[in-house]
Amino acid sequence: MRAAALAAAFAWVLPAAQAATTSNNFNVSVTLTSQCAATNSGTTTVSFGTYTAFQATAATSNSVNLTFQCTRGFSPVSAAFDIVNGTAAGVGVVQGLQYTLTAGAPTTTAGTAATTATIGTGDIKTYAVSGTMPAGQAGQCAAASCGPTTQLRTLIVTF
Amino acid sequence: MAAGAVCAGQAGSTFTVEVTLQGAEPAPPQPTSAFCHVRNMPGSYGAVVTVVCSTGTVVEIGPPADHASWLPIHGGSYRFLPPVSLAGVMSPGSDMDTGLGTVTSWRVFKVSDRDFLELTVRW
Repeated sequence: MRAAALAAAFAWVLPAAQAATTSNNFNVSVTLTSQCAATNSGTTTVSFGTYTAFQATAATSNSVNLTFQCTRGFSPVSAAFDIVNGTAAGVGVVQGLQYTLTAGAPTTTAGTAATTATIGTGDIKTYAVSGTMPAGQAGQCAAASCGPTTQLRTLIVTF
Repeated sequence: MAAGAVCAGQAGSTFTVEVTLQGAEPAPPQPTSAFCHVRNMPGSYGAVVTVVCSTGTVVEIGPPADHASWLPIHGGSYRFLPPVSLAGVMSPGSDMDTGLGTVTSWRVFKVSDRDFLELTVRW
């Protein structure tokens, strides 16, 4: 009885069983294909307002911002307009009136990096698009006034 | 395409171009009084003179083709040549037309045996 009591009292000094760890390394691999995608929302309109036939001054439009979300650090190599309703350089005709669009160099709003908590966001590339309509044009209209007439155009970025 | 070549991608953002076309500005209202100018004034008797007025009315300046043209149907002015001699004697045997109107201009021009008083009258 006495021996058993002693063994219990000094049990903590006896060697304990050790927990073991080991590691097995592996790689996480991915190939990222950079992309850009249009992110405009709502109706974006380049408006020349009201053009009076043969007016003496050129008409200028408002400026609209067209945005693309791109892979962070990645930039499109070029931008051009569609050739469906005009030329790649931005020339078009609406209501018998010729116009020319221009797209400025894009500005970049840096995205946020991915973390273990969030997936991050892409860089935002913004192109300001505006147009001019030369003076002295007759237009095409069988009535005293026609419009507002709209025409769909597209800004295409190549990356 | 060569192996390993990078394929270019494209993305498009659509937008609309908008315009309203209206006809030319309406012409300014014509003045109620006509300002006229002579287009060709050769200065010789019997010549045809064209007078163009800002109202768009072409005024006939010349001997009327017949008596009916003296009627104020055009609202224009006509030249009237009284056949009066230098002695102030009315030439006999001439038809005369008289009427009320406003003398808008006059001039005297001389020929070999008489002066003519030319009146432009507006009814």
